[in-house]
Amino acid sequence: MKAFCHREGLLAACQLASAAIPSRDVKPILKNIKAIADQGRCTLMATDLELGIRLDVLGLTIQEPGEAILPAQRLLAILREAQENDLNLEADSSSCVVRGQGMEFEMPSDDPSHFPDIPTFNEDKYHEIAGSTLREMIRRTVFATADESTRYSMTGVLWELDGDTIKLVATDGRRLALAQGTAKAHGDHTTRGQTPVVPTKAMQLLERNLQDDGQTIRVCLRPNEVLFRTELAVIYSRLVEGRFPDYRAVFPKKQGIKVTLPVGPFQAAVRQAAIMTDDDSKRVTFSFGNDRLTLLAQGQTAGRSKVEMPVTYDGKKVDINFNPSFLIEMLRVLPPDAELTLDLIDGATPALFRSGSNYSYLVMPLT
Amino acid sequence: MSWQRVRGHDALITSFQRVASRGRLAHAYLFVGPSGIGKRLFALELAKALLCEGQHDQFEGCDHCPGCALLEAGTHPDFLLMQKPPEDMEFRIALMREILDRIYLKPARGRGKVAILDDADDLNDEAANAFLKTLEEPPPGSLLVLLGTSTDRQLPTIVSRCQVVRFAPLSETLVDKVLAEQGIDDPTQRQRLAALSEGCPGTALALSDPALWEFRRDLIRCLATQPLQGVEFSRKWMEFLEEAGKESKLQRRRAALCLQLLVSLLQDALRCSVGSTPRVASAEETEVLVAVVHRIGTDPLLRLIERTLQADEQVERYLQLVLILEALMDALTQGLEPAHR
Repeated sequence: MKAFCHREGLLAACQLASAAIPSRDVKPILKNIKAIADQGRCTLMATDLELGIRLDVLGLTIQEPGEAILPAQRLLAILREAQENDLNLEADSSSCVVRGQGMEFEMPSDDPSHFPDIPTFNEDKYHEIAGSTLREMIRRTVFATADESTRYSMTGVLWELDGDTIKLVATDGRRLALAQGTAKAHGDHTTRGQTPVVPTKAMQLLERNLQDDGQTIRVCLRPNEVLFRTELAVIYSRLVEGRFPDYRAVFPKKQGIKVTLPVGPFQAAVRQAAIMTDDDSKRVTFSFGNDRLTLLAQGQTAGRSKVEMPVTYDGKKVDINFNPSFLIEMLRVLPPDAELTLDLIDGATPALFRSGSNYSYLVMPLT
Repeated sequence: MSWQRVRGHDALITSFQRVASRGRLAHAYLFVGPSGIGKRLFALELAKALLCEGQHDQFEGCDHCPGCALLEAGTHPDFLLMQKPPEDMEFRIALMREILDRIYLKPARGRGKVAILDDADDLNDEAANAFLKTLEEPPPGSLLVLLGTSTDRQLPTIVSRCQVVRFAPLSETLVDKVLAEQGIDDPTQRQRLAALSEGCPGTALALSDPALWEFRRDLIRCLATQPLQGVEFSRKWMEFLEEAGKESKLQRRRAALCLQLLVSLLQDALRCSVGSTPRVASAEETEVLVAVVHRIGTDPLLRLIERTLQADEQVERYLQLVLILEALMDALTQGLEPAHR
């Protein structure tokens, strides 16, 4: 392929694409970006065989269509260092040459057919979601996924898209986060009857691509893969195998006590109490009663902590133990001036935290 | 087409094709056989046959479709070949996790998934145990292939979860043919390599390195000298191993090949001593060997062969190479002394 390109446009596109380049040790060819120039468009793609990115370069004139492998790291360096704005790019299966005024770079290249293609997004069945909504939903769930678990089906986030609702669910077996939002279905796109789980890594990559507010994201879930169309790129990921647990069954059916907690002060109290926990006993006792919440922690060697905060609750005294990091991780992603409601039954049943009507977080107590 | 690259395992190919045509492929196989016999090549072709996207009825890779091209390049998203890093002594759990992470993703190209676990001999208990659950019930559409030299090197819990496929040695004629295809033109050399290979073309190719035959000449010269210059030769030997490369894996590989050459020399000497014809040694070399036999007799020769095999085992067990060589040469010096009779 041969193209005349605008330096900044190509640099921005390469930077975006390079987010999908694996950092670990892989086949050398995957450390590169594949470019396809055809019919006046130039598409870049990068993949780590689990997820991938595909995007079009703006401000590029194709002189000769074709496919090529572009050495990502060096090309990015050239694009950053070059002074002028117009560059010539020429690449085939053996070399990649960048020319500008008074400079020429030649790099070895590879056979483009050895690089797996990333699917395109030309679906008529998909859901549309506001970028800002989706970003918040991802932030509120992704931390609760299991890492390095033997339960592989929990190493990602469950997507449920049906009608105008989107639900994201993440769990590691000890806590569960559920975020809900509104979306717009096109062409009867639905995940009913399936449990598509998108790997954590893809969720994080997607979140990083949702930084600009005001954009709308299109999501298409297929049996084995998911495609996200953002304003600039298509993000692709394979789904996780296995059955996601039936999350609806774990929510307590009984009505218990209800306590309202302000996020900021509650987070501060948990963090203070957690100072005295150590690796052996990651446990804080939460005791509700007498219009007061008392947090108690005692480490093996660390010492003892007691933190109190006022709450509106004057019923029967209830004690419940939590791993404080499970609470801190959740409180961190909520606005500090928001309010949480806590539904408690007793010290042995899961406790349900809710923020507004769109976010639920269920934590198993320690016994 | 693509199966033709696999030599000497026609019966296995036919049986796999038959099983596949009935849709009865197992989900986990343990391939066992000496190294260099063609297990990995077989597993790769099996993967190709499974993941091929070409239009044909055969259970075979077409070598033209995008699936086959990606597999050849090692970038097929549904294919994984995991080998132990050369500097590690064990196949560790971190590698196993990488395999599991990949196998628990849905297929990207829709034709199933294949993971080949090379160096399965070196799986440590932790990694093997982490594998058991998946090995027993892999995700749908996946095929796991473990490559090792023997079922004895595996935990019984691993063996019982796999279908064991044994690879039989190739005939010398077939090894000879493979060597000819690989561009070894001298028929005498080919015949010697085939005799040394024990039916493993990979070993024959590894032994075809001219540097090894240079070393073998030095070795014969050393055996002919009386008294044997053991200390000096072990130093020379070690230098030769270091020339193979910085990585210990390369040095150990070369050490094993050298020991194989030494064993073959001693075996030929043994053959001479019982009036049989040597298999590898030339007429000129035979004279030297006959002289050695005359000097020490048959029994010490048997002991020396055993001692050399012991050194080979030590190489595999990651003992320090210098120590192995020094001890071996010491034993040889003593064993080859006429007084020792």
